[in-house]
Amino acid sequence: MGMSAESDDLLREDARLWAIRVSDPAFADWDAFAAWLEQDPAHNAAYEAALDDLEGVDALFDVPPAPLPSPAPAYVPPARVPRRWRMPAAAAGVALLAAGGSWLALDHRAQQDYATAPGERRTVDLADGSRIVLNGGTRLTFDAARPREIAMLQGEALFEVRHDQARPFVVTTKDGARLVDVGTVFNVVNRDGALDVAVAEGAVDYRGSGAVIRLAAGDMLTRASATATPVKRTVDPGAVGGWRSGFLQFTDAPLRTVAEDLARNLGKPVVIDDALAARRFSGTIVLDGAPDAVMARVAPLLGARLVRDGEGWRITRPDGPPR
Amino acid sequence: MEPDSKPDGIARLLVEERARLLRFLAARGAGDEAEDVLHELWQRVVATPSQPLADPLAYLFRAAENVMRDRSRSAISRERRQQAWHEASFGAHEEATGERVLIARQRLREAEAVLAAQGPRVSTAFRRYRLDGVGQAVIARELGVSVSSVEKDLQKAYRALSRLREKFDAE
Repeated sequence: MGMSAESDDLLREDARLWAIRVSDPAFADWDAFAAWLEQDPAHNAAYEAALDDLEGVDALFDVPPAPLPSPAPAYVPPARVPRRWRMPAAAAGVALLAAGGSWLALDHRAQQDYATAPGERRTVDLADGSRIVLNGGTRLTFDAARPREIAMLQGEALFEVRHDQARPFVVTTKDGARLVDVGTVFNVVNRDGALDVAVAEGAVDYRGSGAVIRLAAGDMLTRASATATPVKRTVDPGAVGGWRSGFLQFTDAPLRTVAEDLARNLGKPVVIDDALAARRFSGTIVLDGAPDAVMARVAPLLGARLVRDGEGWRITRPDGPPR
Repeated sequence: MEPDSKPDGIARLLVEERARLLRFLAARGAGDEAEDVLHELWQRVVATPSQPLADPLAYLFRAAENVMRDRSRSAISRERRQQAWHEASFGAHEEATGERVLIARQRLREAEAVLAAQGPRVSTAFRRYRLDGVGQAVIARELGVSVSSVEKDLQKAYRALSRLREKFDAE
């Protein structure tokens, strides 16, 4: 381009600085950025190269150090939890997970992987005093070297976080959303990218696709899919994570969600007719007793009829034809 | 754009700020296609339900920036860049996983050393930003310096680590 090596360096540093500024989610000086880009077509090319370089540098740190001699997280099974939930790999401190998905690039990392089957519960006590309670049908994983950065792959979990100003507790989903605690008890449901985050105490920041949304106690964020825009609403903070004490609270929730929550908590398949799936329900379902008893109480609450379906149930319209 | 629809909130803002966004998109690499990109942006915005936004205009610019970055990524070079990255990281012939991990860990150690050599403030700023996901304004408050100092600290860290990458690439 006929540029001297010196001005080349200057441009590279300018571009690097802009890339650093713009990469901050709070960046707001877009007019100044546009003005800089307009000065010379070479600026945008230099900016793109700077972004590539930033990503390359970031990738240098995407490798965990060698496994710690003493594992940070310790798994302590609660008294009423059956012992079969203890995972040998987790007890050994470091589990290597052969990842099916590519978004985590787990193949070379020291991973702690925790999973529950539908109907199972499990408590993970972290070394820093934080606690994660996994509801049924849930999978989450974290790097042994970074136990305060949890990747939530599927399901529902209640996070009781020991706040540490220097090391925020972060829950990530595979679409790249980040939940950053501000000292907190919060519940997360992740169903194939559909996300519910409810805060019982403290506050949580949701960060995704350029937006940062602060959630305080009694706030709930609902995102219908990985690409949908999140919506904020109000819930009873006392009811957040109610599944732990044996009740499920719903506020204007689609029956599809109710059915999924029931399946996760009862450990039996619960399917719902398409005709009913979008209907809304507000109220509390008590999980007391055998699954049959729970489901028998649920049907009238939902204004629906219950049909046995193999191991589980089908929720159908009260006037629907018998199966 | 769509005269029959009744845009509200952010969609209306997009129409109001059309000129500014177009100017940005054109300079950001869209050139003559800035109108098309803006239309793409409009479709995305009207397709999503409204949400509380601290700064709706910044949100629109961010969305525009993301669209342009996605385009430049997929247009030229996904394959080429991945190939280059792969060769730089692991050599042209893929080594065994164990070998890869060893190389990656060795490089991480070197990166940590380079970072430490930039001084405690630069190193802290980089860690808080890159590894903890903390915003630059918060880091500035924590360190008791201006945001522009944090930017410069990050620039210093990224510059030094970029040189290290060039060294790795040459190996």
